Amino acid sequence: MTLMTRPRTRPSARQTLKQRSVWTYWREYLAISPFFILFAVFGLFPLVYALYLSTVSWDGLGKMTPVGFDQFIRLFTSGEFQSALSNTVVIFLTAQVPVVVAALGAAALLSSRRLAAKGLYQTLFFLPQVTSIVAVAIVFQSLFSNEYGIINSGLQAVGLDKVPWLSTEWGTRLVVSIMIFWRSFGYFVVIFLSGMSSIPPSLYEAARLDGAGSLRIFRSITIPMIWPTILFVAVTGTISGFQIFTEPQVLTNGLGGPNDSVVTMMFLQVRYMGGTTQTVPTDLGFATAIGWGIFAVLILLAAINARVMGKRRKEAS
Amino acid sequence: MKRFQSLVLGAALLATSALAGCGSNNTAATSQDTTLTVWARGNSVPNDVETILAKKFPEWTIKFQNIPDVEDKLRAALRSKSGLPDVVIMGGSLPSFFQVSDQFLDLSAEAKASDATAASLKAGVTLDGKQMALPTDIGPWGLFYRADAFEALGYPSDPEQVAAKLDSWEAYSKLAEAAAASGKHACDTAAQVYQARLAQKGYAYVQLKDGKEVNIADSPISRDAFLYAGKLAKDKTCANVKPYTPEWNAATTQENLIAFVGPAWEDGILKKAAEKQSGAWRVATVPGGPVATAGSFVTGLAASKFPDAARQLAAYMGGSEFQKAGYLDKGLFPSSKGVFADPEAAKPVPFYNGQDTLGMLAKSATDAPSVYQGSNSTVVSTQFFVAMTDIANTGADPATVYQDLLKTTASK
Repeated sequence: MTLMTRPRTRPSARQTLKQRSVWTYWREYLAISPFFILFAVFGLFPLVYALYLSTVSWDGLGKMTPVGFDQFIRLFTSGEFQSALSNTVVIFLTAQVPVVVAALGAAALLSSRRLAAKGLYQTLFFLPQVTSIVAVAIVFQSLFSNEYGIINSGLQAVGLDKVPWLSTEWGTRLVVSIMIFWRSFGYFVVIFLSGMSSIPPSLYEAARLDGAGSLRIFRSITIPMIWPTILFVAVTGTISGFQIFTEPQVLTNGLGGPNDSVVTMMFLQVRYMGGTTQTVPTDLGFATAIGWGIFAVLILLAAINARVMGKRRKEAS
Repeated sequence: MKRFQSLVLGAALLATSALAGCGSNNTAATSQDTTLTVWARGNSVPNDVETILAKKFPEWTIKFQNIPDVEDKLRAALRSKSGLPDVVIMGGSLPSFFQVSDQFLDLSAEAKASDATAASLKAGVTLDGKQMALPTDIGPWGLFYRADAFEALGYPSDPEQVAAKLDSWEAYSKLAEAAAASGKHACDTAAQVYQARLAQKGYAYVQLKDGKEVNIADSPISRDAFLYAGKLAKDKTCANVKPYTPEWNAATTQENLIAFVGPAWEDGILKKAAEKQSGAWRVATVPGGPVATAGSFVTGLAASKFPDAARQLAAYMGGSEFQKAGYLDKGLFPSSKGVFADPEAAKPVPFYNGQDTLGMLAKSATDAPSVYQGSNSTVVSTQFFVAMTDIANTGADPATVYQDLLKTTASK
């Protein structure tokens, strides 16, 4: 009997509670709704639309042609994405990895209390970040151009041969890497400096009293103390490093360098989106499929990063 | 009750006037509330474009927007069907918009009244014969050269004599080789030579057959031109510097570049890079005959609330008065024959030692064959352009490169 009566009373109570919880908290729902509305409009809808776009072939103006999974098959079989991924990895390893290591070293030097004119150094290092990328590209073209470049003129002046910087695959990649190094260095220095500024000076003083040298202090105090900053730089640096686009695009005037040697994943996507230098017919469907490819690579990298860094953090602690 | 009646009456009046407003929008070209938006790249219109338009159409409000990537913005606006301008000036990728010609105004009547060259007007006609755009500037090509350097090589310096001496591409090759032997260059990049030879034959990889585009990337015209220019590239006869790059400027400033074939708009970069060589440069006809390529076009959008006004504005921007201002301000070569005859424009140019370059290039613009640009002509052209640059850098065999290129371009 008890079992018979309970179901009759409790659902109605639950219902009332449900109705109450929905309608009584409308103000709270309203307060948090802007985020969800914005997320739906600018996050969810583009994602769903991108999923749909990757199943069609479309030049962005005419009629869409449904192609099923052909764009993804093309992504894996045409070789274009694989080549772009390989270019991205090479540029990442020769630019993003060295710049993070160099910035860490420079930040350690700049955080030294004995160094004078720190502000000047920080400003000088950060200056490339706020310089117009187009101006930077013109300067780099003038420096590294094969026939009339300043560097080649200098080499010839001292009796050396000209270096084909911008007409060989390795040369163009190297120049792009130097551009990225030069532009990102100041940004990473500032990030590391902010991490180092939060280390209590008493730790350094204690270490010195115990007879620790500069290298030992750096390894045993600075690195463990700024580990969250290093993790942040590693994750954001990897993501931005794998989204390299502007430097190769402006340096090669949108053409991608000899044998498309600096066509990175993002560069390839923009190329199929119908960029100003049209080297391929516009296909927004394939561009979207490339976008999904980039997304998958970044997810994989973020997972590897988190695993490696998490392991090291445990070891350090 | 009286209050209710007056409310109903007021609402009815409001609705009627609103509906009347909707209906009369299309014909309100001369009313004071006519507001038109114009999109264009800043460098494809005269300096004081807003003042010029406001002076010409004082009864309208014309908003000018400088948009560097105007074609991309227009594509996005056409996709979303919102935020469209009334009138737009765009560049050479006009043929890619032909497939949505229904979203543009038909400017056939304006074209009939236009005094633009026949070839440039034809470039704005869609496959089904609709005049979708009017030319605002064009690119007749010339052989730009330094008179003193030509004399040093034993060539004449007078433009007419130079044109007579260099009347074929074979003669041009001999000049380029002689210049290279003396440590100078008579062509900037072989890719420009290749492009000039194609345009000279009215060729752009596509032809019309029964009203449809047919890919003719594999053609004797393209092959001959590619092998000819490829030899110049492979032998390093040209300077291997692309226009609009710091290298090109350096080659010109350092007096290593003594001649090149290029469109009229390269006069702007030449005058800047060769500022100290003023008076030494001349312009002659391109070897092998006149060449002209498309420049910019003005078109009106069908979605405009004021289509008649948009048509009038487009016609004015494609007309002689506006083009003359563009030529005098920025050297935008006019398509209007009226400007060719205008004494204010057709006058001796000190940089070219008093030569009337407008008159010389106008002849090329008038006599050059029209080039049919297909929707993918630009894409294929860029691929050939890149390949030619690669030959210059790597010394690859032009015939092999050409065959490899056909594998990707003959199907586009």
